[in-house]
Order: sequence, then C-alpha cells, then structure tokens
Amino acid sequence: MTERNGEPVDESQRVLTVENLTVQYGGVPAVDGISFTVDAGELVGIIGPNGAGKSSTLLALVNAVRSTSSRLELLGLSIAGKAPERVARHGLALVPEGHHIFGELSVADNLKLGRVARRSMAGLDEDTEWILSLFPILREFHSRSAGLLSGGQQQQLAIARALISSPRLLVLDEPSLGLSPTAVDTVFSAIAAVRARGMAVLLVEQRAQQAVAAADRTHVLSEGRITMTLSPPDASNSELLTKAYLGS
Amino acid sequence: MIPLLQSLVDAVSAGAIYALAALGIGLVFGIMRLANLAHGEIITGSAYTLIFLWQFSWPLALVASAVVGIGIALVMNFAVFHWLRAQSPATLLIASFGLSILFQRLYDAAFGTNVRTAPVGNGLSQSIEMGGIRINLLSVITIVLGVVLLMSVHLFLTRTSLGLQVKAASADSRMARILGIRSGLVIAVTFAISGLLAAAVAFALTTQSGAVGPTFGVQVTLFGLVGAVLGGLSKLSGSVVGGFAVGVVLSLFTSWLPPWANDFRTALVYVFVIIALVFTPNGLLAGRSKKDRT
Repeated sequence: MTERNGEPVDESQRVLTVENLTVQYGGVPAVDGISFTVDAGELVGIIGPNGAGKSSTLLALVNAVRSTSSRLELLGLSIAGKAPERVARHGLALVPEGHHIFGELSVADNLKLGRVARRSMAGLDEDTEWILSLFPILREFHSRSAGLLSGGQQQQLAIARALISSPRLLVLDEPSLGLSPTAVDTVFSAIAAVRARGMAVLLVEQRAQQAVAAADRTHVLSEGRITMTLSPPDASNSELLTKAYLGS
Repeated sequence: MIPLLQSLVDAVSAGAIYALAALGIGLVFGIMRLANLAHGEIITGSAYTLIFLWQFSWPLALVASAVVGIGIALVMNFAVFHWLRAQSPATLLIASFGLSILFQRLYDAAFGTNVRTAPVGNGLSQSIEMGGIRINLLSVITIVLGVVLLMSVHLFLTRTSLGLQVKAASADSRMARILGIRSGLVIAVTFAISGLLAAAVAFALTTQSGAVGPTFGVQVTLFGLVGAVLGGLSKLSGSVVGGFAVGVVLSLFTSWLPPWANDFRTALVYVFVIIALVFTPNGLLAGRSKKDRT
C-alpha cells in the first residue's frame, strides 16, 4: 500500500505507474521527469498548451520515442524499453493524435486489426456488439473504405479499434481535435461508457474544461513538467484553468 | 493473324513473369521501403536448384527451388536487412546492391562463371492447338501460374489475419506496432512470399532458356523494379500492372521490331518508361500522395 493525497492506495489496482519519465529530443527535454499513476476504473487527464510534452509522454509509454524513467510499469510489469507491440499485447491501447486508421482497408478490416493485441478471443462477439453500440455509425459503414469516413467517424473507428483489443488501459491523445461538436459529444460519451466498464483511461486533451470535469484528476503539463493537478470541481474555475494553461 | 496471336500470347506470358517479379519487389518495398536489388539473386538461387535437381525428380526440383527461394530471402532478411530496418531507403538500397554482388560472386565461386544447362520442363516447349491456332504450351502455363500466384497473394492479403497485418504494416508501420502487430514476423512473412514469387519467376525463365549463370536473375529484377516504379511502388496493384506492362512491351518489341532495331529493344523499353513517368511521375496507378512512413 502506498499513499496518494494522504489516502492509502491499493497497488493491486494499479494499472500504470510512471516515475521520473524524461523524453529528450536532441538534448532538449520535451518531458522532464514527470510521475503519475492510473488505477483500474480511473480516468486520468493530462492537459497543457501545445509543446508541453503531452504526446511525447504517451508515445514514451509504448516506446515509440526514446525515454528514460526510474519506473515505468503496466500491470506490474516493466514496459521500459519494451517494443510497442509487446506493450500493446500486455494491455495498453494507444489512440494517437490524428486517428491513424488504415484508409485503404474497410472499416471491418480496421476493426479486425484491433484483435491482434487481444489476449483471449473469449467474449469477442459481446465486446464487438458493445463497441458498435457506442459508435453505431461504424455498423452502418462496416464494409466502406475507412479513408472515405469523415474526421469524426475516423476518430470513432480509431477508438473502436483500440477497444476491440480489450485493453486494461485506453490511452487517448486529443480525441476531440478537429471534430464537430456532435462528434465530440459521441467521443466523450464513449469515454464515460468505457470507464463505467472498469477500464482505466488516460486522456490527453486540449478541451481543458471538458477533460477536468470528466477525469478523476487532471495533471497540467507545462514545459515537460506537471505544474498542477486538478479535480472535477476545478472545471468550473475558469481563472484556475487559464492560469493552468498560461502559467502564473 | 496466327503470328500476331502467338506474339500476343507470348507478350502476356512475359508480362506475367515480370508482374510476378515486380510483385515480389513491391511487397518488400511496401513493408520496409527497400527496393531489393538482390531479389535477382533469389531468382538465380532457385534457378540453379531447378537446373541441378530436375534430372533426378521434377517434383523434388520444384519443391526444392521454392524452399531455396524462401530460404535465401529469409537469410537476406535476418542477416542483413533486419539490422538496417531503421535506416533510410537509400542505405537499404545500397545494402541490397552489395548483397546482390556478394551472391553473384558466391554463385560464381560455387558453380563457375559459365552457364549451367539442363532440360528443365522440356515437355512444356511443345505447341498446343486452341481453336485452330497453335500456341506455345509454356506461354499458357506461365500465364496460368502468374494468375494463380497473383490471386493467391491477393487472397492472402485481403482474406487472412496475417495478410491484413502485412497490409497494415505496409501502410503505417508505427501504428501497426502500436496495435500489437509483430513487425519482425510480418517482415519475415513478406520476404518469404517474395522468395516464393522469385522461385516462380525462376521456373518460368529456366524452362524457357534451360541455362543459368551467376547473373541469371539480374535483368528480370531490373525490369521488375522498373515496372514496379512505372506502376507506382506505393500500391501493390501498381507494381503488378507496371511489371506486366514492361513485360508485354519488351516481348512485343522482340517480336515486332525489325532485326536492326532489335538490339535496342531494352533501351526502347526505358524510353517508354521515361515517357510514361514524365506524364505520371508517381506511377500509372499511384493514388494521392501519402504521408511519409516511419
């Protein structure tokens, strides 16, 4: 048992542990020794201005960029230096910024690729049904070429594809970027539904207010460091949010 | 009329061979941005196997040449290209050039500079009558072999989980790995398929010529590569169509050019390719420009 905010925390519920994570590009730190944790069923947010190191943090988790850390663990297993495919198969599904769906493949084939990281095919049909109920548009466009979907639909496909892998931790990098208000609502409702299922979620967002309101806690990242941690009531404190973004 | 039809069948048959070569090259290029100049030496290795083993048992020779083709392709991958995966396409290209020369010297040292001959597939050199027209059986078999293999690769890529993973890794290798796709496995499978396709090309060419030397696979590989570029390396269908077009043009030049001009047929193919690329720089079947892949 360790403590967070003076409260004891059961480490058996710990999904992700990040300690002293640093990412450097050409000697310049993009992420500068940050630490945070995500427990089962939690939604943890990361907000901050452009260039704060948010995406670098997420890419470091799957070793898609080089990083150093004193501890980087997923479900008790060290993932430091592990290949992206091994991290994925251990239960972390990352939806990077910009969808990255396979445009020449059909929606159905994109979803099939989500199965690759799945540890067991038991319950696949039920999971697929649940995911398609979150994003009904994907059922409608099942056989359509994914490249023909709108930006919002592609984002839904990218999240659905990640969920098919039945991850223990869903990591989303700016899922609402460039989406219409309706599509943003769909994405945030889906995130709430995912969390209600007990899955842990790590969410990087530009929409600070929405993220802070939805998350159990939200870390503010600025110049590679966590400068503040906000809780849901802070979402209505626009002065605090502005300060979080612009610095004091 | 009959010579015209025969030359058309020959052209389609040559097109099938070059399409298979271009597909083998295009598959590997798609997955790791490697224009593998050493693809020809895979073809040569399979061809030597056919030449040496055909006299003992033709089924054994066919199976062994496929195994040798796949084996050489995998050795090239694990011994060289695996270690250069993160390097630029230019580095990979130069490495493949070096590997090509190395294999040629190895064949030279092992089997001599002179060509080795054997009557591979002798029975196939007869003509058959179709609708009152006599057609070379070998051309027909080559066309059938080409169609079957192209369809098989297409079905593998579109209907199997592993094939989908190959397509995904070709389109965006970083995202594919983030989804849990094992890049090492996918690359190895792709090399194995290119080795099998090289063996098919070796069979078609060896039955035509019956003679194999250390540089046997060089010309078909160069034209296969040119065809793949002509069709558009960014799409597999482009590689196939481009390879087919180059084969057809080369064969028609051979049949139709007057004797004095026939020596220039290779150069004329390149002229044809240059003109085509002036008008479609990204290849005949290239789609919209794509993002760089990491």
